[in-house]
Amino acid sequence: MTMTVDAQAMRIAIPAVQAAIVALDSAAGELGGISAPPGVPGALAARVAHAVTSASRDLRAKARSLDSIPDELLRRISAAQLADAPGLVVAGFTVPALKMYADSFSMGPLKWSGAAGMAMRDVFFRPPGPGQTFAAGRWSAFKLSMSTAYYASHGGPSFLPRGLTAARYAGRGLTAVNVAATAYSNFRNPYLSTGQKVGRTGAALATSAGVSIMASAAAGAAFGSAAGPVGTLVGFGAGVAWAALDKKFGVSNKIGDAAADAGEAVGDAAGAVAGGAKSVAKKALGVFGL
Amino acid sequence: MIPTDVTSVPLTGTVPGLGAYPTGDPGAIRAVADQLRAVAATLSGVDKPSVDGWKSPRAADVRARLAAAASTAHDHAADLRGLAGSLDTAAGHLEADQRAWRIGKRRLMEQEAKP
Repeated sequence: MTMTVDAQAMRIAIPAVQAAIVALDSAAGELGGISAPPGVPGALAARVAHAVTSASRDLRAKARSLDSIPDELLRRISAAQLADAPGLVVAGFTVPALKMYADSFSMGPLKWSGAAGMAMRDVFFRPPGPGQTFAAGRWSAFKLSMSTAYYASHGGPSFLPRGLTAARYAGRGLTAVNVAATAYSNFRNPYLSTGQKVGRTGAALATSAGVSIMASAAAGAAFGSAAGPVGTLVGFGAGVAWAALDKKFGVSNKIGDAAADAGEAVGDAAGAVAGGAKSVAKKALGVFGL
Repeated sequence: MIPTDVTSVPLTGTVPGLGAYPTGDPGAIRAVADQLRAVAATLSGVDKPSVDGWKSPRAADVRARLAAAASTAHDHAADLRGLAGSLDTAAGHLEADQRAWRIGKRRLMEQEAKP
């Protein structure tokens, strides 16, 4: 299915549609005041009455059927301009990538069992090198390592170096920007049903978050908690790859559409969500000067 | 006294074969016909705005609505013009009937005035 919009051509059509509506309403109004005067044969008078009444009704109905078109054209023009806005297209690619990059500095939330496994590997399966010892014994080293891994992911910034703390917050900020931009873009898209708007937005966020966690987990599994620059590259690479693939194949859109098909009962909430998303997105894009 | 001009004959009573005076104002009927023609002219001017710059299933629906509106306007314009023509004809017939009645009435008055 191909959809094209020539904003300039459609802009010209709006006054023409409005003029047609005015002409139809005006004609219907004039016909309302016309009746056959005395002296007209009965059959002809009946024809006049019928023609005038039915024409007036039909013309008003046709005018009402056109009422929504100028606004509809305006929405398409806005959407076309939005799609043509290079800043937004760039943002669509870079914001998720930046988010992934920032996220890759952290390991993502580790469960207690995950932290225990990593600590066990470090303490029991990677014996100290020559000249190194666990000062208080392996059990204490295990507990310390496990706690450190767990709290580094859950306990807040106190366990993280200053640079990584900033990266975590940057990741959260970019997540918010990405959420807002995705929601704004979907809710502004006039070609989507309400269910699709909500479904696509939710799916984009869910899949994006999933990739982020997977990327972090992959880096952690491969390189340990101190993944450092290599983990950064893995996370960054996965994030960028996902963003590019999702843009190209619309994976999250397809997931969202399937969810929308499954349940369209979200319509009432969508208006409020759309309004909020638009407001947040405008602020977020303003930060980037877009 | 018998009027010298048929337009001055009294419109009361009946004329044998013609009955009572045919009521109605041909001028008023023609005025209504003119009103219908004016509305028809407005409707004929309703064009189908072009939205060729937009191609999608939704655009096809909008295009169909615009076409239907223009078509309805043009159809009713043709109907109204036809009616206006019929009213003009009716006005012409009424005018002729009224003139014939007046002539008949004048003749009747002349016959009644003869000794």
